[in-house]
Amino acid sequence: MIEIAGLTKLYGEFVAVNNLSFSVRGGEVLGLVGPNGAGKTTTLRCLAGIIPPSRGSIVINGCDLLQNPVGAKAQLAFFTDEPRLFDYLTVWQHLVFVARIYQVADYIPRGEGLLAELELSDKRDALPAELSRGMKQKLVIACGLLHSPKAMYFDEPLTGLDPLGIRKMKESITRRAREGGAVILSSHLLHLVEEICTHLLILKGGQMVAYGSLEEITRRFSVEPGANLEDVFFRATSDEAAPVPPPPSDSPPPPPILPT
Amino acid sequence: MISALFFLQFNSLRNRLRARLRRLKRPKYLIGAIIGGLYFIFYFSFLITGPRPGVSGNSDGSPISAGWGETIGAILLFAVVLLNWVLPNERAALAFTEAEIAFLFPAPITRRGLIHYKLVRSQIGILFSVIFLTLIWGRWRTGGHIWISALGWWVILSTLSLHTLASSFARTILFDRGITNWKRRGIILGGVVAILGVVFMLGRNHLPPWPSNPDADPREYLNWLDAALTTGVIPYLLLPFRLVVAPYFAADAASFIWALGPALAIMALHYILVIRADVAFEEASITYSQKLATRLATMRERRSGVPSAPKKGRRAPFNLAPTGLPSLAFLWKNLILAGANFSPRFFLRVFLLLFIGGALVMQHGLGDSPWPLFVTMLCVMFFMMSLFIGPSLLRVDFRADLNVADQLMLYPLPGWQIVLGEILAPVAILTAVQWLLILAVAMFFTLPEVAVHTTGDTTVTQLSAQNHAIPLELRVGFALAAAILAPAIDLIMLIIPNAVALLLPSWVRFDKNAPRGFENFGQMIILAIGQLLVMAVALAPAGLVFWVIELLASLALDPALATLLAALAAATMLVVEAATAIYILGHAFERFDVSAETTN
Repeated sequence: MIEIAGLTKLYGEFVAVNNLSFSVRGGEVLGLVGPNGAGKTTTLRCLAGIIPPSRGSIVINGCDLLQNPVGAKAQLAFFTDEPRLFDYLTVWQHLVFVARIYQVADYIPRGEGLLAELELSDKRDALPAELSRGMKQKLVIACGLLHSPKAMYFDEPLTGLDPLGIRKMKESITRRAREGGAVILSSHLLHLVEEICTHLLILKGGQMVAYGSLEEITRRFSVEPGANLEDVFFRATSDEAAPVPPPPSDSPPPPPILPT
Repeated sequence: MISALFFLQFNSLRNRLRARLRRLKRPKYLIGAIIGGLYFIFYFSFLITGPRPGVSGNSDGSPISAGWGETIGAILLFAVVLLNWVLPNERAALAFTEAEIAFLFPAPITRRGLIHYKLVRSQIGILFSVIFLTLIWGRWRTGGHIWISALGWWVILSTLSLHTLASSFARTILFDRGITNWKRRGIILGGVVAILGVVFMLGRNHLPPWPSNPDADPREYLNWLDAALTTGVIPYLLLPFRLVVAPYFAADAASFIWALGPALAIMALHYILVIRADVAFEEASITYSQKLATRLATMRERRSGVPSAPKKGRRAPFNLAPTGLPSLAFLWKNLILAGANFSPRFFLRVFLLLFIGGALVMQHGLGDSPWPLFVTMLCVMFFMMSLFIGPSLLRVDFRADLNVADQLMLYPLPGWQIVLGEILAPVAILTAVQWLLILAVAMFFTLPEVAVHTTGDTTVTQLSAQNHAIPLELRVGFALAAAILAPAIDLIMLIIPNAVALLLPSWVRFDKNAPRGFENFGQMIILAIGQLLVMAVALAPAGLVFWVIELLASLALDPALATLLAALAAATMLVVEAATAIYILGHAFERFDVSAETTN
């Protein structure tokens, strides 16, 4: 579903992301973790087509993002950590606008369903300024899901949400994956990653230091049985850990592990 | 503690300067800084070497007494001080930035320490004002010394700054004692009026007679005023203010030093009052700082030309279907941003009003009333303004969406559709305005009859509108030609600033991270010149096409038809140019690197 090969992003001489290769299949949730400045957000922005990569290829559901950006972007949704909304459009006007952009003919029942699911129905005519941060986040999600994307990227999705919002967000992400979506989730909250991700990619200084299923990575970096993801993370990102060479292009991606 | 505050001030300034210098490594800022710097050098060179200013104290040969400038200065200072006591209506509040409040207020710093910090910080602004006022006022060019002017301004501004602070403390103390704003204002203004009344009663017998001749030389009135201000008790009442401004008006070093002592004593008195006052200003300062931040954000928003976010949801201008050309979604969105003032309903109302009014005028006429001609001239003026200034003012396009450029990059649309969509709303609004203006001109325009009356040696030329209406077919022909050309020109005129926003986004930003200073000023100059050049290059071919076709067509067709044909050809030319530009800009948008372009 999402296939990345040799992704590199340079800012002048600074290497923000170096030669990343990985894939995410339908039903998988890939956790993208790493210390601050590891290149997580840059990676996601490249994958979403917001910033052009310096090298490499990004294929979304068979569409090359660089060769056919319109086709690839039509199949993805990117949920940033900071809700970006038009402060002069109401909740419903946001959906109308997005429907026209993505050509969603049946946007009315879909939009109403999403608003009901995200408990925004009574805020239909409210402006973003009248919404709490959590509600804004929900509106961004409603807009992103309106066109039923196949690939979804979440950058720190729990920022600013209350406990109920956190639970709903986790349910929403896992549900989209169960329905066949490919999800990449970037977060510093390792318990969230451990709870809902099937795969893990650890970045450090723009380099991939670990990539595989959660079990594989836990096994590889554990020194004692029962180690949690936090222990794994610190071991993987310690100075002694060597970066992982990118897998050969003909090697099969790890099998999907559907959440139970 | 004070040393820490000095450290903060010094390092803030140094780091800001370093950041600016570092930015100059990038050519776009370096060129801007050079152009901006040259502009200021030429401007101040003109100030220094240019003609003498009109206000020149006592050295311009005026017969008025030598203390005239000092007296006027003292009166102005008195007025400012009086306003300081009368106008404000809030408790004492020192303007701190939100970061300063976050770091300094919870820190173990005394109020006195905070006041000292504030005083030191205010000196930076005062020093810049001193340089500016010294150069602008240019009193030193009329025979004085530049250092006397500069130090004189410093004394005045520093004393005024301290007095403003002291008066705000006094106001707070009065509040705490139950004296409301209006009571305070009543007492102060009442007191001033009473004193002036007493002064007038006491001094009226000593005043010289008021110039009785209505055609008297203005200097006679000035002499009277001079005498009124320098006799009786008024000089004593103005003494404190005169002492503060005296160093500025000193003619030489010796008189400056002589005048400086009392002025510094007054300043020191203010300082002691401010430092010793134990007034709680923290809470009011927090509120004030928040207001200041909001005001700054609003100013930036206004400067950017983008309408503010509405307080409640606005009605959509039309129903947007979910399928069809996606660019229309941007038109729909940006028309909502433009707000109720530009709704189709508004334009329809104005159209109907104009149509009915114009029809009545055409049917019944207005005799020799000048109104139709006046309305026509006004409409033509607004039409030209809408063509050339409208695109700069109406920024409901890509310029409004620069801060969500990353969001736009996510949309599955070819670049040209986004560029076209972003430009459509201002084109639609300007076109609607222009069509209404064209309609008004077409309905009201009459050729004025020129009547010349001669009475003795005097010849009077009068304009009359009577019976000189232009034939209907000519009006319709010219109006249609203008109506066809207007949207095509708007399209070109709006592509230019949007191209700048796309290609040089950091040059048109108005947020808090936008560059300021020489480099930004220079960039604005370069942009203005560049836009004029591009506009000339873009409009020239269409102008040529219009001229040639008009010339050839007028040989075979009547003027209205020939103009219409020429307008159609020129508009087609402009639309082709615009389409090419939109296509190229679309490609530029697809390669737009948000991370590289929107960082300084």
